[in-house]
Amino acid sequence: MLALSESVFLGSGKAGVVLAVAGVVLIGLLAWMLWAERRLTRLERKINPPSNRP
Amino acid sequence: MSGFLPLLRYFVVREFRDAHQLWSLILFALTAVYACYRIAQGRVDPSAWVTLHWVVVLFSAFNAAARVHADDHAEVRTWMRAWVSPRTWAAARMVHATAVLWAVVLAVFAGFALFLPQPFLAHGSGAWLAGMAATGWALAALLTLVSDVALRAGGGFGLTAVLGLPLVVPVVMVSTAFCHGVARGAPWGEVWVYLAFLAALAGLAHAMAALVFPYLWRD
Amino acid sequence: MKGIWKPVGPLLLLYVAVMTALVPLGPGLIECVSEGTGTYRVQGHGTHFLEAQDVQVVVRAGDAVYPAEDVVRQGTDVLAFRLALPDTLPSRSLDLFVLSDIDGSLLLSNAVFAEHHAVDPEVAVAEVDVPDYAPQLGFHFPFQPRVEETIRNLMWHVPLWFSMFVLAGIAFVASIRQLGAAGVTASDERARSASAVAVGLGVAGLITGSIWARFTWGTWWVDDPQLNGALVTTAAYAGYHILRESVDRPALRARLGAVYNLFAFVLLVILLLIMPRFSESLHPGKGGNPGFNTYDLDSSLRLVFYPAVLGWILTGLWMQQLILRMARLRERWEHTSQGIG
Repeated sequence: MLALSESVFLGSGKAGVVLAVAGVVLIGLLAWMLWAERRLTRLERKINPPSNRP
Repeated sequence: MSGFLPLLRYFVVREFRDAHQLWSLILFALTAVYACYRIAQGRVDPSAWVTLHWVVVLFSAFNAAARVHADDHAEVRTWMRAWVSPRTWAAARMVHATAVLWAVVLAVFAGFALFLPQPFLAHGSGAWLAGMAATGWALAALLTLVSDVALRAGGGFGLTAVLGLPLVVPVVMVSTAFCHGVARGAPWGEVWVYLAFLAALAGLAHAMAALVFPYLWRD
Repeated sequence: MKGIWKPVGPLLLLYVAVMTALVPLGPGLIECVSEGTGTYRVQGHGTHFLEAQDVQVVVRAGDAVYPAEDVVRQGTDVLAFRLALPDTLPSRSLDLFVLSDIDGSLLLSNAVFAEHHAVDPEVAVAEVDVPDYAPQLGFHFPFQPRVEETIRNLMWHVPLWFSMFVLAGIAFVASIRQLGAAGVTASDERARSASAVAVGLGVAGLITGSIWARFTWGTWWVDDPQLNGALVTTAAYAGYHILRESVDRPALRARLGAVYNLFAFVLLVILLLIMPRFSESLHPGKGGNPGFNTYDLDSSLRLVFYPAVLGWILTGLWMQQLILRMARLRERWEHTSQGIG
């Protein structure tokens, strides 16, 4: 279905730069979000442990 | 809206009592016009003329909006709440600001007509002034809103400019389209819609003031 | 399970990233160059001229169709041909069609200009049999003139703005709630966090838009109503944060921020939803330009675009939640360290 060899975008070489930049930005962003999510959950559990919740 | 006319009368009387403030605005506008004249070396095409005219009006409007009056102080405002509602105050202040800006706009127009006259003014002065009046109304209404927010936040001209410039962009876009149309001799049927849009923007600013001023004054 | 929706956004974005990178572009024609004495060369993109069994070239003026002669396939994306046009044509500007059994029918509008021919819109035209080939292509994105490969940016640029609208809407509702309440409420922090993400998405939208403009319109910035509106709206939301930082008293900060947020949202509606409809714009779908849905008959773009919109909205909401939770924890810590509550 995905004819890689027919893709002018990938064949041109310019795709590499585009993908690399977009990849770095997105992966960095998502990595930060995951790290923040875990850190915040840990802190929230510390402040308000599950046993204390109604 | 009781208290609107007495309040407006108070603003006008105060304006003439402290006439130096109004004159300083007009002086700023006229010296800015003269500076444009020197920079352009007395020659400027219609498009550049419109641009310079508009820039001087814009900065004069911000100058006018950033002025601090006695009733902007918290103590005076607390006293005023006893006899006038925030909505009435906002409406009166906007009408007063519009009148002041019309005076400034007239001065700017006179300055440009004197130092950098343009051929289209022979037939298009009426349309130009109508456009500038609508622009002045929209700018005054919007900047009255913004300057009150900035003042309450403890900011001055800088904060008014930062907050106000994005909000006046629709006025800039519509007004400059009208002005460039008049400058190139476009027929009235083509440009009147911009005036209607400016009036709508001014009306929207008045409506927003009626909505938010009770909250701005809540303390 | 609480929070189960959070990974959905990034997973959708991963799908979008893979599809955007790997799906090929459909074939199209880029330009037609006259080489003198009635011979022309046409440049394609993603075409299969060498692999096709049959490739024909015709030009069209009004209802008249004139087949080209001596069609030579110089490469998989280059054709040369000769045109022998009558002295009188319905119009001097002719559209070019390349018909092949693999690529189907490819159009290049106003490709040929017959400047030395006479014009008669009523001139008699002969019937010409033109083959109707259906394209034999796999899943691909549609080719659009001038946009070409940059159509892939559609999956990033536009969803970022949709997501910004959603976050701005959340901030707007939270600001209204804040105004209706006394003191500082949770709505204030919700408005702040949503506006912060909206600014970030707006900046990302401006950057992707600027890059796209460079490739399609030849410049990093043009005087376009939507570009100007997007920049000013983002500046207004940035101004909201500057205003908040200028005020020390929490209750006053919440109230002034809520008021200004209302202004900013009204500005967004005026500049991005109302004014572009009344003005000429280079953006697709505005000012006479065809929208993307005009060409997207097989919905190939929609299969990636809609997940991208949902992915960015969910990711934006997750970001907003993270910022909100950070603020609440910070406030809790400050209260605790000051011995309050």
